Amino acid sequence: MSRESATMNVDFFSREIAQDPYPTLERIRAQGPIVWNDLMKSWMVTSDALCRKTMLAFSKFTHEGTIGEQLFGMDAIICLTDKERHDRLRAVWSVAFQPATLQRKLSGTIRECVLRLLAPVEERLRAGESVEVFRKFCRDIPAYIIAEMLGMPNHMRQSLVEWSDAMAEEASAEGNPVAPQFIASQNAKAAFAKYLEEQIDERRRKPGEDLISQIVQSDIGKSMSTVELMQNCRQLLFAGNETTARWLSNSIVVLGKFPDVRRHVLEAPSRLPAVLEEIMRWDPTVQADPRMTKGEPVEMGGVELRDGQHIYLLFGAANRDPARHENPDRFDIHRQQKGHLGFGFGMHNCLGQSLARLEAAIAIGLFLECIPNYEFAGEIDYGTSFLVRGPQTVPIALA
Amino acid sequence: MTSQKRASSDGSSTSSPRISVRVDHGRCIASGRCVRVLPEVFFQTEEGFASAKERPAPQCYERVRSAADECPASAIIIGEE
Repeated sequence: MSRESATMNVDFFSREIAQDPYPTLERIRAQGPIVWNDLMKSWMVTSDALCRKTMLAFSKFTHEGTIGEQLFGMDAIICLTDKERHDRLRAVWSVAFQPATLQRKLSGTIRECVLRLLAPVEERLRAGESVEVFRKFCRDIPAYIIAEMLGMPNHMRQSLVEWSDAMAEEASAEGNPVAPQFIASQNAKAAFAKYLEEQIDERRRKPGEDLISQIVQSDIGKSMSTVELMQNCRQLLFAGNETTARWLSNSIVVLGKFPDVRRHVLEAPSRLPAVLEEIMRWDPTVQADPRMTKGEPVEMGGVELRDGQHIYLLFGAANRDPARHENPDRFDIHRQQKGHLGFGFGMHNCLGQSLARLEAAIAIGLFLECIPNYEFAGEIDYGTSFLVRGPQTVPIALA
Repeated sequence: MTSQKRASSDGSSTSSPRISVRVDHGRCIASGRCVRVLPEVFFQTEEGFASAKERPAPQCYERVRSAADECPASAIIIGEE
């Protein structure tokens, strides 16, 4: 590491950074575009341009050796660096995730799911109670939808939520094999694996239309082992779960804090997608993308990076980089969007982003329609989750 | 009355509208899909974003529409003239 580069020790697993990372992110940015964190033993990148450059160089800055590989396995698509293989694998599921296809095939299902969850919430609110809407509304929506797409039966959906939640805590164990979160995550991953391997075997014998059948029956899928197929299915199930649920809860929080924006949406619901996009820029769910350098040394932002170094791309900071966004700290729904990193960039960009957008538009749209006037009924808590961040306790009541 | 469609020198029917294509860099997330699917029309800039030859050849039109449908960020804008 270059002796001239700045150092700043930030604990990514503290409550403070989860509650409000932005003052810390600005302090990191003030030190330079790439800063060493001796506590996390990794580099931190706040510059939008450097984040993009890094993400484009997918074979130099990989997910191998990171929490990504730990959680999903080395054969999961997010860990692949062989572009040919990656593209062939991604092509199988890409069709199902095209915006128009999702709209056509899933709008009805998403709407039904949202209304079903909203009904008891609305009832309790009208009875004068306060309701915590992350668990009672946001959390189950993406789980329900992705489970449907993979052909998982109703009775497995609760397990899907539990296993994903346990996996989401693994990062905070910081590699400590006796930490309870680490053990819980290993158990969840194993249970997930066992279930998915059974489903994969069944789809080989009796293929259907679901996403597991699609990958099992594809040309590339036929050359993959059960474990490789399982790692990809497990990654897909996890990926769209925690992240989307927290975008939903964050949207309810942000719209609660900005009632004029809420009114603006209520006047013309077609305005909602642009508002959701600005929420994603201003306060993204994926705050940190972990990468590891591979191969020959590479220069990045004036620093020489050797093989095997950890880097965190800090999207919460990059999305507020003044080099790209004017008045970046301002939540401004009328701004001309210049592109944000909330769904990544380059080869590994979020496969499910169109699904996330569709779910958010429908869920928050219906939420506002049914509950246009709400206020917070207690503390909003973000827990200790920073890498995938969002409010996990959102108590509301009718205003 | 039957409509007459004259074939012009580029093989297009003169009765179909010309289209223009551009990529919205405020949405593009550099997946590279359009470049891979239709390199005759889409290319990658140094920043990673895709860009398009504004007026693609008519024989590419169908594939341009496919590329737009397949774009994960809905960043390909097709204009009819």
